[in-house]
Amino acid sequence: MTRRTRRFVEQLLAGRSPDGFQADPEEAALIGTAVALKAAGSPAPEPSEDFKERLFEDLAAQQRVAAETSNVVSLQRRPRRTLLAAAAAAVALVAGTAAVTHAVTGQRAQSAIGHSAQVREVALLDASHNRVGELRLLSGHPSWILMNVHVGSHTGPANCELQDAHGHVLVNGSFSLAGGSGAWARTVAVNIDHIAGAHVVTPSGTLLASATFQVA
Amino acid sequence: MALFDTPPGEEPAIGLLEPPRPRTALRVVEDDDYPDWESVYRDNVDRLYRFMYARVGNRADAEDLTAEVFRSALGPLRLDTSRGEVRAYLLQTARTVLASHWRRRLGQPVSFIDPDDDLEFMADAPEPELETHKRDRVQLILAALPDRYRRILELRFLESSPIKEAARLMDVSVANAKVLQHRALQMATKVAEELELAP
Repeated sequence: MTRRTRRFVEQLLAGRSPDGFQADPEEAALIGTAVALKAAGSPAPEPSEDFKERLFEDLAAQQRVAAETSNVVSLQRRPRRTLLAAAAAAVALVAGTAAVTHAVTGQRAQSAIGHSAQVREVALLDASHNRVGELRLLSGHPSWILMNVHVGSHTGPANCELQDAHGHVLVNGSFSLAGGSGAWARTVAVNIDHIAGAHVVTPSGTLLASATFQVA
Repeated sequence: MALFDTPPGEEPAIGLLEPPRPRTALRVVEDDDYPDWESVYRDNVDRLYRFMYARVGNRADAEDLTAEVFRSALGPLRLDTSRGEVRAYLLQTARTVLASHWRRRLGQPVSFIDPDDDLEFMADAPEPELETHKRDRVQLILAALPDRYRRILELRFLESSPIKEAARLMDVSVANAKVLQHRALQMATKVAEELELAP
């Protein structure tokens, strides 16, 4: 067993979130056993009330934004069937509308989410520097990240990572690509002004698209 | 009735971690659905947290991943479907979020000795049965180990003994206890793999 695997197991036993590393299959299998043993060691703990309430408030804000944006879209008489089903996608649509209408990038704009939001938008480019999607950051309470991409023909999971100027991953998440198309949206707690770049990659690490922001 | 309101032929599933299941496989059970997203959350947050804890082994990651599941799943979710279908969707989202977590953390998928238990986390069955089943699987693996290997794993993982205490109880040095623990884990992993391959 390698030192990094030992460290991972000891952090796990200490109840901490273990540090990641590039494991080989054997190490991953061993860690799976360690996690199963740890979980079997005591009855599954209940989530804390504090955590549940914080998450509830976060989701409530997400739902409010989705409802408000949906109302705005309805007032614009868009056919219902053209509405994107996901609340996140509805926000993306409105954010895009705001970005286009007000031609804002790094400026204050009255967005359709009902409050003054700063919208930063950047193109996602493939390896040949072709535009294959957009990434938008909306500062607010909460702040949102909205991304859509159409690249290649890959179907399956993909990851979107947003990094600061030093390459540290600030936000990441997964979404599905269907025939190369997909979108992703989520609220974030980080200061989006610190986001300097983004990568869309397959689970195996193949880079599909990337974007670079000017750090505010 | 579709579980998701995805416009056909226009956009891919947005924000979903897995493609929607075939519409024909879904049905409405009017007396058995959730009235609003809050009830979806309240009814399932504990289940999903326990599932995540069982798969990552620590509170911080379990909280982060539980939150990620709800943030991803609630937006696309339609409420005019049965509780079972909603829970199946949440579980599928959770599995995908978990797979992504391990890819990020280790660059590898991580398999578990009790993957068939996933559905049990979302069921209304009494939880002690699930706990008992999990312990049975672990006990089966431990029983296949030499006495000292079994003991060190029991002390460290099941009884949460610090390494110094485990070493004292086994009458070995701390360094020896660490070596024992690591070798025991390796053997337990091989036993688990053999059990999975067994008919």
